[in-house]
Amino acid sequence: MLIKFRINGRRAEIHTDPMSRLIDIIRCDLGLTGTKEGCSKGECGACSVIVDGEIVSSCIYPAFRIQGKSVITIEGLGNAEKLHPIQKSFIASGAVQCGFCTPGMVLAAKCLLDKNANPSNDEIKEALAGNLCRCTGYAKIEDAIKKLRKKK
Amino acid sequence: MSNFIKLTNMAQLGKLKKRVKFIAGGTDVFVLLSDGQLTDEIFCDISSLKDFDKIEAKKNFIHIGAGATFSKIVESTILKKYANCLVEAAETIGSPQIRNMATIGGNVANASPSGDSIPPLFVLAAKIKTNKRIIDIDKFFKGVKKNILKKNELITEILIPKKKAFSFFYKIGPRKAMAISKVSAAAAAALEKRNGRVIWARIAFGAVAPTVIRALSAERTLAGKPLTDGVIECARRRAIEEISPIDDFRSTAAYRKEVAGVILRRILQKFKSVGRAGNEIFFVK
Repeated sequence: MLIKFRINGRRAEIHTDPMSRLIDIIRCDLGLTGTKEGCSKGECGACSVIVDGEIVSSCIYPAFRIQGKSVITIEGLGNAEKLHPIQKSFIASGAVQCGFCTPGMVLAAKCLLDKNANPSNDEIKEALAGNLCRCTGYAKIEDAIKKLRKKK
Repeated sequence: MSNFIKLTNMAQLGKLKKRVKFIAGGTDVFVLLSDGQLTDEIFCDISSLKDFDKIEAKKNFIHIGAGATFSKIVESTILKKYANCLVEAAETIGSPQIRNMATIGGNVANASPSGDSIPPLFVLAAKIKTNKRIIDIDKFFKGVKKNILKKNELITEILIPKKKAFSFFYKIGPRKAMAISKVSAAAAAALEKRNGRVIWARIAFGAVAPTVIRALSAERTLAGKPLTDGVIECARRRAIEEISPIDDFRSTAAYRKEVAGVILRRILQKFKSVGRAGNEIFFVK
């Protein structure tokens, strides 16, 4: 099946099994290895990416559903030369330890802040509820997002 | 390459010869695939059907498209008004990621006794509309992961009667997000405006039997009575006599029985407080 979609703003066309997983398209077909595979069951959020503005788990997201859609991965936010403000805030807050959950966390944070520039503490927790971190205990990740709030 | 068909209109459905496995959000299907199951299926993509995720109020019913995601249900003001317990249940399902993908039609068709959208549908007296017929929710399930759908019969809509009633949902799981319910409960009730007396009540429990079940004797206990602590205690006792949970890897029968009573009591106390608060629209008389 030919699937046409946008990845980090660029057009992409790939031939793939319609029932393959979005994470395999991202990592194997496109070589974008910033997206991590944790549990492979949609439980841990490490594989989170943004599809048409919504956070989803790419390990259980069917390839056929990205037809005509726009996918954002961690590579679409920034790079070592030019970091995204969320990435800078994660570094400044010490919100990264082993780093495996970080791409998913940053994208979940982006999804939240794009919709809600001034989220409450509870809204931050809710937005991160699908992303597990086994190192930080979450407090520093929440701090990184709190620092980006635009006070009304 | 997988066997794969994309359905673009309902007319194509009747022409399918072989049995297909419908897929919309994929959150259940892809977990089974990663376990090495579903190896010989013909998958049928229903996610592009027109208006398949629409939520709309018509004359007698709220029509929820089977492809409506739980995120869409959470954001629906129509459902907040007529199906509060369903919105509360949707809020507790999975995580933001899962709610953006998983659909109500899939949750119903999957027929898990712990499917969180199902107890709300029981107490709201929902109907399941397929391409062939309309089925009352309490006739839809046959057992654990078994429903009465025939070969290639597709759920198209969930119909919620536009009744005046309050309704609430509560679940117990190991944590708040990504938790499969150990026990869940929903209740709906119409209250008399004058004195807060229960006119009718419907109560349903999830994960305490092979299918979601109603607590009919507890419902009868409430009918016609004011929600005093004594009446609530009576209903709680009746309800836990009616359920028959099991020990499994998620919880024990004894714990489930105990907390089923606790969450029912919490829900009934909520009815009592909305009764006092006097939220106009849902009182009868």
